[in-house]
Amino acid sequence: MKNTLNSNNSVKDFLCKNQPGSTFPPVAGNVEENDIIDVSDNPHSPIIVEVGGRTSKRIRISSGMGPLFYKWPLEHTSNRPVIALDVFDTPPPLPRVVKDYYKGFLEDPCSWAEKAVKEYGADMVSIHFPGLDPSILNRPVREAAEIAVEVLDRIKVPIIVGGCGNPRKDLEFFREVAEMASGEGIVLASVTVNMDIGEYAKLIVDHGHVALALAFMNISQLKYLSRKLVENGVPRNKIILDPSTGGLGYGLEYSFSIIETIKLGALRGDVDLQSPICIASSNAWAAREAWMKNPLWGDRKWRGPLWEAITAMTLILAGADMAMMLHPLSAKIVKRCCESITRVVDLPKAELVEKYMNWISPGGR
Amino acid sequence: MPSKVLRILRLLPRLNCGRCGYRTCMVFALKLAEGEEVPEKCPILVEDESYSKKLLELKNILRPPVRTVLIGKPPNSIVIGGKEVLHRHELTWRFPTPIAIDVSDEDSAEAVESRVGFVKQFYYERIGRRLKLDMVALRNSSGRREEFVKTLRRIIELVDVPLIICSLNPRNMEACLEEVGDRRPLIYAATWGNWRKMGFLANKYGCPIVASCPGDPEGLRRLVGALKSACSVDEIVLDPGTLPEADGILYTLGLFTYLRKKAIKGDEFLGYPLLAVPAVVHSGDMGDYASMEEALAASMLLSRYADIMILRSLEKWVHVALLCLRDNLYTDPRKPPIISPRLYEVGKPDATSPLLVTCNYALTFSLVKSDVERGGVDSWILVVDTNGTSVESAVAGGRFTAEKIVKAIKEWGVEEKISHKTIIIPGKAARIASKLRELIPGWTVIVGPKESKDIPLFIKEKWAVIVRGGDGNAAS
Repeated sequence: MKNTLNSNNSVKDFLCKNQPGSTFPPVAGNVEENDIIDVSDNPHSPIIVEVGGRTSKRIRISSGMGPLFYKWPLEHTSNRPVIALDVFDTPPPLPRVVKDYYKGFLEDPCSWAEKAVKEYGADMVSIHFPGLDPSILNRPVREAAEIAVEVLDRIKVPIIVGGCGNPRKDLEFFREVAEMASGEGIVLASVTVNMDIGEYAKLIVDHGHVALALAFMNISQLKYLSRKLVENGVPRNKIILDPSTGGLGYGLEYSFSIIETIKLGALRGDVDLQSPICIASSNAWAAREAWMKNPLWGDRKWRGPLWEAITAMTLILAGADMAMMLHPLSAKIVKRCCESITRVVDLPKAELVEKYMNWISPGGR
Repeated sequence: MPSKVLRILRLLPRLNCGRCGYRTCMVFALKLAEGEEVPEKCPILVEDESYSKKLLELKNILRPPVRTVLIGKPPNSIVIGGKEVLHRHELTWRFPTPIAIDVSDEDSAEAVESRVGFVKQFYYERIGRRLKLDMVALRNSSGRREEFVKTLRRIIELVDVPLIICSLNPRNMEACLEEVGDRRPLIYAATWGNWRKMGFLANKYGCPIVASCPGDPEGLRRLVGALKSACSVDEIVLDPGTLPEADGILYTLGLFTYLRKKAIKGDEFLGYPLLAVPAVVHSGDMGDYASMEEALAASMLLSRYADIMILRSLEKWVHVALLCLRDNLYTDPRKPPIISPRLYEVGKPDATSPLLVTCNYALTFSLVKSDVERGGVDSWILVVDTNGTSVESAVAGGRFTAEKIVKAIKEWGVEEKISHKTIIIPGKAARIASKLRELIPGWTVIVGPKESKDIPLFIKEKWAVIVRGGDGNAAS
């Protein structure tokens, strides 16, 4: 919930300035008037970021080729978008419909994380430490790092560790946790332009971790971060991009267009944009439609999870390759949907076509 | 642009009759040129045969890569399609996807009534606008004619929204068209099994028609060709099939994407609106989850080029989410959502009512306003020009400053309207409070809550104490 949409300004600047082709110098001959790019014209391989290490299993996050399903006929793919569930070191003000799923677990990040993986099927866990913030718990960085390592030991799936949003304290924390979890391939969330990028990059390189570059709805900043990381020795397959996420009804359209633009830029050959994209659909809960009781809006038990699932799936279609999610039901639905991506080619098509026509109007075609 | 407007104007009747809803033919021509209207809105062009050539020419001038199709009869009509780009960051998507609610002729009389009633009554209010459902789709699932026509009659007694009539049986279809053919319903569907007869009906009744060839884009393309050449219909909607189950839906997204790409590239046989039927999810047995799956399928199809869709669920939470998504996707990506800065009234505030200040980002203002309304205390809201940025980023970017607030107080004559000289600033702007106190010495500056949802409680607990000397009941 950390990277909420708080810079509408840069979004608009971006969208006003970035008419097709202006930011990304088109590769000669590839760009048509209507900005339609054929995947086959642009042969670059997807970048695959591997997370995890000694303790946990390894997961591959692939940047894919452009927005989802841009190629026809559809092709087999073994990589589906990866789903992480959020855990917090100190329970933040969570909506009731989320809390209900973790009753009795909110005080202990380890069992919370375990529930997220074992019961709710998360591929990864994103553990955030708002408690590091001097104004919340002012938790010492060592203590936070120990919690992160304990979680990793317990769940044995790759983790994303998130700081409190204060660039100085976060870097201190990353230093601690990077060392303590050396070789574990964890994702350090996140590096921003306000942080000492050189030092952050060194932690990634020295301890074999994965960088998450976060820019608030600003593609040029994201490119800058990506370039800086590479300049400082971080391999491209250790970089994930986070363009920041506006939830449904609260800036989703900006995130949607930014992600599409990034993926099209990547297809046109912009290497800085070819890394996988991560979103935080947890931000969907910033919209009151997700959590507020209102008889005009229907049952919030369903409304909330749907709100987040739509946020996630819309952005996955635009090109997101992994999602940090909050509601277990949303995560489950989205994961199921993503699993279909790897199966579409072998669809029993005739059977489903039959079913479709019969449902509309019986009596055959 | 001007020459295009004149070319269009020359083809219009130029009688300035106003029947299209615009005062003059010139205004209508302008709207046509901007792509905000369709020529069929002019009844003379449609009804007077001597204009048929001009109408055709007009349509050619105006035709976007995905043509527009008009369903229903003005004023109860709806335009679909009209897409010119693949990605919304290139040009605003126009003609938001109408949502039709499915009614089966096997539904009980009460069910039909509640389904149609839902279309009529349901709304979702967002940034001061009422978003609504658009259409009713009648499905001949019984396969029988009497039930089909009976249900249709019941529907048109209840509503006058545009209709989709779904049957693959041409005789059943014609029975319905005899009832409502003049309302220009969308005919569903011509298939390779019935296309001659269905195409003939579309032509005879002047109705738009769906070409359906599920799972086979090449077959669909040829079917469109057949309808165009043999039946001379051009108001066509494409049904590439919405295949059920999670895998089927994802396949459908790939298919829709492929077809839309072809259309934007200029394939004239595929340059028609796409119909999606997320309702087909209900063909399986998923209980509570069916509405969830349907909503998720519909949401994905909304961003992947569905120009019209049929849904079955009557859950409010489904439609709130979908209408919100549709609203998001169809906004102009280049136009910032702003409101004009001034002093706004909530209820009927007087000289002793609270004064709150906020930014001019439309979403923020609309939330603050509705929260103040929820609190039930008449209030003043002073809106400062922050170039449409939210409070948090405007404070950070120097666009929500003490100076700007002072200027706004003067500009909108706040001091003449209130007597208490107390101003509540957003919690997220706490750091400008001291500067503001410096600039307006006679005033009391109060830092309000960080989240606007806490405004009602804040006002209830604090305002009375602050302004009315501890009279706790004065706020109510």
